[in-house]
Amino acid sequence: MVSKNVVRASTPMVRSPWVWGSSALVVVGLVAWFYELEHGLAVTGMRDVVSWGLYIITFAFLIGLAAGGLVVSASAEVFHIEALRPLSRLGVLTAAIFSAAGGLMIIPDLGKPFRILNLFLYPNWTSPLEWDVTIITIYFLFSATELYYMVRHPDHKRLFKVLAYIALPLAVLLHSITAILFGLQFARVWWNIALLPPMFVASAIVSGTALIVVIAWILQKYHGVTIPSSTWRWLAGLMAVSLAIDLFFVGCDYVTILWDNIPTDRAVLALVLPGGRFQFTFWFEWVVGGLIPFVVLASSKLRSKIGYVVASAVLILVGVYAFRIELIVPGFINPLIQLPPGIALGTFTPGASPFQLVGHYSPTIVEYLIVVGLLCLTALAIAWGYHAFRVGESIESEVPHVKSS
Amino acid sequence: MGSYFNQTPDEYIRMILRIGQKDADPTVKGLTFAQLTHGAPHLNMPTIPYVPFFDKKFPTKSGKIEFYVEMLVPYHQEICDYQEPIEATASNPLFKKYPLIFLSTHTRFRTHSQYTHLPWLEEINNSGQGFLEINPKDAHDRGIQDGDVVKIFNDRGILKVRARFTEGIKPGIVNCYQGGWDTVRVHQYIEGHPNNLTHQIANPAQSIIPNFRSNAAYYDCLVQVQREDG
Amino acid sequence: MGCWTCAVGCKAINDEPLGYWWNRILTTEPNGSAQVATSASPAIDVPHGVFPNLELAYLPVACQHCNNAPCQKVCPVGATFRREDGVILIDYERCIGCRYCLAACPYGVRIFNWGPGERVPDFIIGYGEDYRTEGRLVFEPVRPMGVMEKCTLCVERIDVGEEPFCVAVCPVGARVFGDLNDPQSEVSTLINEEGASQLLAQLGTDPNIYYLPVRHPDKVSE
Ligand code: SF4
Ligand code: SF4
Repeated sequence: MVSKNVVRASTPMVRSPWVWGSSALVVVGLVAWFYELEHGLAVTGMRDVVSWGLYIITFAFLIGLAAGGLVVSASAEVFHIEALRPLSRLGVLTAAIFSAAGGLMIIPDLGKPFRILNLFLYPNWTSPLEWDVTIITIYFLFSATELYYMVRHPDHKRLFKVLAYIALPLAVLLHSITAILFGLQFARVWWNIALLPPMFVASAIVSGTALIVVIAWILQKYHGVTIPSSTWRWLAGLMAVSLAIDLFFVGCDYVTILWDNIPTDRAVLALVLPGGRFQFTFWFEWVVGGLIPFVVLASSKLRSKIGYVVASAVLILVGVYAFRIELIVPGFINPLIQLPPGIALGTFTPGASPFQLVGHYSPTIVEYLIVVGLLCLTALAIAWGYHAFRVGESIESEVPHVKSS
Repeated sequence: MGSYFNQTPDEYIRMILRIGQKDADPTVKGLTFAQLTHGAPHLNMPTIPYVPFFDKKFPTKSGKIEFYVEMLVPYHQEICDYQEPIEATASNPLFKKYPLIFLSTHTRFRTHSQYTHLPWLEEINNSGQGFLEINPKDAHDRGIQDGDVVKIFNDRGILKVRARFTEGIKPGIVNCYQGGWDTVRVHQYIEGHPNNLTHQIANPAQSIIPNFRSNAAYYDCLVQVQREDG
Repeated sequence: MGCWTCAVGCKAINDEPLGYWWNRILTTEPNGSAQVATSASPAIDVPHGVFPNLELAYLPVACQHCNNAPCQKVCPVGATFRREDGVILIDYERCIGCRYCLAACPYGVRIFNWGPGERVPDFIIGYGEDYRTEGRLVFEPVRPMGVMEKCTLCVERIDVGEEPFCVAVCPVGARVFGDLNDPQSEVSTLINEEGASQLLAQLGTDPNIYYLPVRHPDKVSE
């Protein structure tokens, strides 16, 4: 029944140019990945000082989006927010697909990707990465199963209630563990704060909601799906509140560092504050993806215009991505022992020093192509899932329910 | 090259070390060329460390270590004593124009110009690039920042390298390690060479010392340093 | 003394390509008081302080073989493991190349094999054979691409009773290797008598590498 539907629903999809374009980019991304497999991670901009880059930034971003999806859909159930109910299935769909995409994002980052099964064959339970892999797997399986039941037994209300109560803590856990992956590393002062998990959860909710807003807008605009205005209002409100909480946490961290005078802490903060090498992350996080969308969403006049809400959502996504960059790259820039000549890079460029005292990182074209390819794949998967799991119908079917309440 | 050296490197090595012959070099005595090129044979290295003058035989007139050298009396250098440098002193009128004393000391990463572009050693030694050690005070007076390209010059020539700040050098003195190469393929200075700056005036007393080839006083050198744009 | 003999020796015995330094000699102040360079230029051999009151010391840093090693704790597949004698090693056949351990190590001593590596000379030098301990592959003659590596404390040498190569080649005997569990050993005696310290001891990683204090910091003064 499901598969039949896929074929029928996909037919118009195949014709649209964006599908062709994205598919082409997926292929380009794959080619880039094969190139990377052949020549090793030396083709990326990562080296022994800044040893994680665009892949891990995008990974954390995608996992955040995945966590946000379940939060939106489970909130409808747990907090009886009827206005969010139409988006339940869409939320679960994004949760499933984005957690899978996050998992996939790890693969090009590995030096030995074909050994990925070792993660399940030889788990080492003291490793936060192992916890993260586990929770991502569970999360994916959970949302995929929920999605399956939503399609198969849409009337099983009790079941979804129970699932929602599991989903909410699971989503919080998912992004907390991703935060802990970084937060436990005392070798990186910038990450090693207890505030990181709540910070990540807040950013997950805000970015996940923003993603749903963007998708909902696309559906409304190009697929003739009507999203009730009460739903828009709730989404806007949810974004405003979680954005404020997110920035509040980040601000708390800044204040703590600004007040004390620990050189290692100050050195990193100086990188991201205005005037630093990574100041663009500050501007994108606080102004472009912070202040501007917050003002828009907080004003009841602007909030009522869908265009403004969607634009804010896009800015928020940009801001949250900037937050991931701000966290990960500057965390590596100043190693704890920063004495000349610095850390050996592990690769050789004629004429250039093989050591770096202060880290440098700029992604290479290979990294961009792989990341863009994966994002296109994710978008295609969402589009496919939308048809396969009849998400459009689920939105419509819930609309009268909202009106009656 | 072939017109000057018409044998293969292997042939020259055989010739110089006289490998396999009766009068072979002591380190390779009793070893054949095949043994030396395949596997890792033990060379005949002395087992006791080399100590100069271990036999206490000194090639001097008296046969002893001489603190007072009779034959240097005509040059007034019979005992070690301070002598005013020819150039690098504040009393030299040239000092106004070239107020910095230029040293070209040895680095532990090469022996004179040998081993200078071994890749491993170059990695440690500033990627093989020469640099000018300068006290930050001298540098600031000249508007130089750490890492800037600077021109070091006097009437004899110029040298261009990057500046490296160090408090380990006294204000008034600058240093660029000697022994770097400036050949067709290897360029260890941006332009010029430390020895473009130094003079070649030899101490006349050198001429009568047996087995001593003439040498100049390389640290006796005045220069000026300026920032080089671009 | 800062001659880098041990670092070059390490490079030779392990056939490390260009850009690799499992063992480095950092320029610092005596007795490891500095963690961040405050010298006039971020280069080696530049002393701390202002002329003529200068201080300079060299700090050879390779893997500290921590008793409580964060790199081992974070490795998701247990590729980084601690041998019974305290040596931290990496199983080249199990490492997935995630580089989490690199993020976790506070000492910056792990070197990842980003690419095939540019080797000079391009034939195999050094130990030159596979080495296994507890059945796990912990050394290969050519650096394996995509796998994490670092100082192995020359397991292949210490297992046959030799000293690690860096200890053996040090021209002034600045490095001492021995059994910390044996109170009579040379290392234990030196540590007890001279009061050695561990690098970044406040982090609780409890390294097995100890640094003896600089006994006579020579101060330059006019
Ligand atoms: S120094 Fe680093 S690599 Fe070595 S054991 Fe400690 S944490 Fe691990
Ligand atoms: S890079 Fe290898 S050794 Fe390091 S944590 Fe990952 S799997 Fe373990």
